[in-house]
Amino acid sequence: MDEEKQAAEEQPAPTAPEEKRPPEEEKPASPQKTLGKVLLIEDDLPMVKMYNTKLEKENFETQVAYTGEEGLEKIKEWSPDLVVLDLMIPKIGGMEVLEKLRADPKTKNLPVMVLSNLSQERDITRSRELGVKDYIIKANYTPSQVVEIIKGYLKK
Amino acid sequence: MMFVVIGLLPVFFPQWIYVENRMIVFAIVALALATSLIYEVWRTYLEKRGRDTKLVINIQLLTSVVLLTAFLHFFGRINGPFFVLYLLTVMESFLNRNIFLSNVIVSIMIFATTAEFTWLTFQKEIVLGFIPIVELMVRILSLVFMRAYGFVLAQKIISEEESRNKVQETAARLEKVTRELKTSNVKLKEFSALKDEFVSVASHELRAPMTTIKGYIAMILEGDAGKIPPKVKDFLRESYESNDRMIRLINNMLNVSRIESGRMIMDLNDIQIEKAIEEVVKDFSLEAKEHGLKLGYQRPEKKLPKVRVDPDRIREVIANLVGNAINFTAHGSILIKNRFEDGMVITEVEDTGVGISREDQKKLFKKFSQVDVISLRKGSGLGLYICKMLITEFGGEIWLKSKVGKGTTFFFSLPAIDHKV
Repeated sequence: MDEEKQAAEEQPAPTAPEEKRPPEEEKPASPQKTLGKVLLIEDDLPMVKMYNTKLEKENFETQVAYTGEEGLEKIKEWSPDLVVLDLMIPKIGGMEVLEKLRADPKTKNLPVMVLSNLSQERDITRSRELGVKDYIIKANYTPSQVVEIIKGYLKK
Repeated sequence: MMFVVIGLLPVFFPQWIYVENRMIVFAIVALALATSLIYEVWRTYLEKRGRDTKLVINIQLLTSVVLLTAFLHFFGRINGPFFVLYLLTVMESFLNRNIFLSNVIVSIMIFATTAEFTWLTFQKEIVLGFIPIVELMVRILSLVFMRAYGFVLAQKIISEEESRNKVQETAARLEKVTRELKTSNVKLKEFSALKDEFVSVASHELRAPMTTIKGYIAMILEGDAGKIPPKVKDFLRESYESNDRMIRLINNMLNVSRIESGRMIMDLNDIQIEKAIEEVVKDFSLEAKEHGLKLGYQRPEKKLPKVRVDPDRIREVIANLVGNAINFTAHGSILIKNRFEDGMVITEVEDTGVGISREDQKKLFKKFSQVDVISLRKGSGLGLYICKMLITEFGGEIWLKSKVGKGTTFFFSLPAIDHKV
């Protein structure tokens, strides 16, 4: 565990070191009000802050994992309703995380949305094969649009 | 042939044979005829099977020389040491394969034969007359024939060898070229993979900061950071649009590289084009409004047949055309219409913009072409190129009608899937 955290902390960009772990991670939101639990697996800090702000504003419960390994741990511990997954993440890549999730019967049907700036057909095709809800290229959407898409999935 | 000519001489003129062993001469002639026939059959057989005939030709030549020498020995009266030279001459003409040297040697031989005759006449061993002259002529002619015969055979072998060498040479060269091609192909593949990797990583790295710029500006504009003055809003919008332009540029470049290398995978679906148009119109309504333009979609009364396209890509095409229309229209409207005609679903995007001159129209769908007019927002020059590639991919066509100062209408057609609807 210690090793893992250390590695995770080494990873993000040197900017704003105090903000590495946003405090809102464990925010006690009133459970009846939240629209759902969203786990963001993403290592780019400005992006984490951006999506997190918007998601929380829209009343989602969120947690962040900065590496693939951490992401898998948090899925087990926290059991989110939706995983927003980046592909270029340290330790275990996003695609591998997705493969591991699909191989495990417990998480086989867990909704996953890929949110990445990679747009190679190879990645898109593979993600679709692994049954992702959507493959979204970050640069083409504003945070509000991304949150709208997430809302669409979690609306019952 | 030569055996036949020389061989028939004693048959028609038996009195020319001075020696008693007439039968031996006839036997030699018969043997010569028989062997040449055998060799001829053998050689034809080998040639038909495409096999090497060198051995047959060599044996045939050797037999000819031996038989001719024997024939001359028994035919004539002169058994001087020049018979050995006869043999050598023929052998030489064949083995040497050098025309000049061969000619010299044959000339010496003819001279030597004549000299021998003269010498024998001078010694009174031969009484000069018609028959000895004929014998001399026969000897000289046989020399010339022999030499020519040997030479022709030699040439045949040389040309065979040459062609065989040529084939081997060509094969070797081909093999070398193939090897080189294979190597360069591997290198090209490596290079192509490297380029793909580079483009993918570079675009990823470029997109990351652009995403956050876009995201944060959008959030500020949406009021997430509190109320902002209109001027700030206006400036932020400008930066937002510039950033978006960069994002589109990257997308377009990635698309072009993908389309051109045939790596673009189409996710084909049967859809109603109306829905895609409505979505695009919705996306652009705010932008059009800001530019003071009316953006409208005249949905056809009757439902259109479905078309088989990649929905994301067709939205890209429509967005490109609408985006262009907004960029090149200062005031007025942009109207989108649909119709069904001859099995094709046709979409038109009509604007009241600056219009495009005839010269510009020609190069419009080419890569990196830019129309030389003031626009609100410059493009990458890739948009229409991509539109054309995509529409062509879906089995349709794209074209335009335009009048400078009046406006432009872009049309694209897509084949309808079911005509009954």
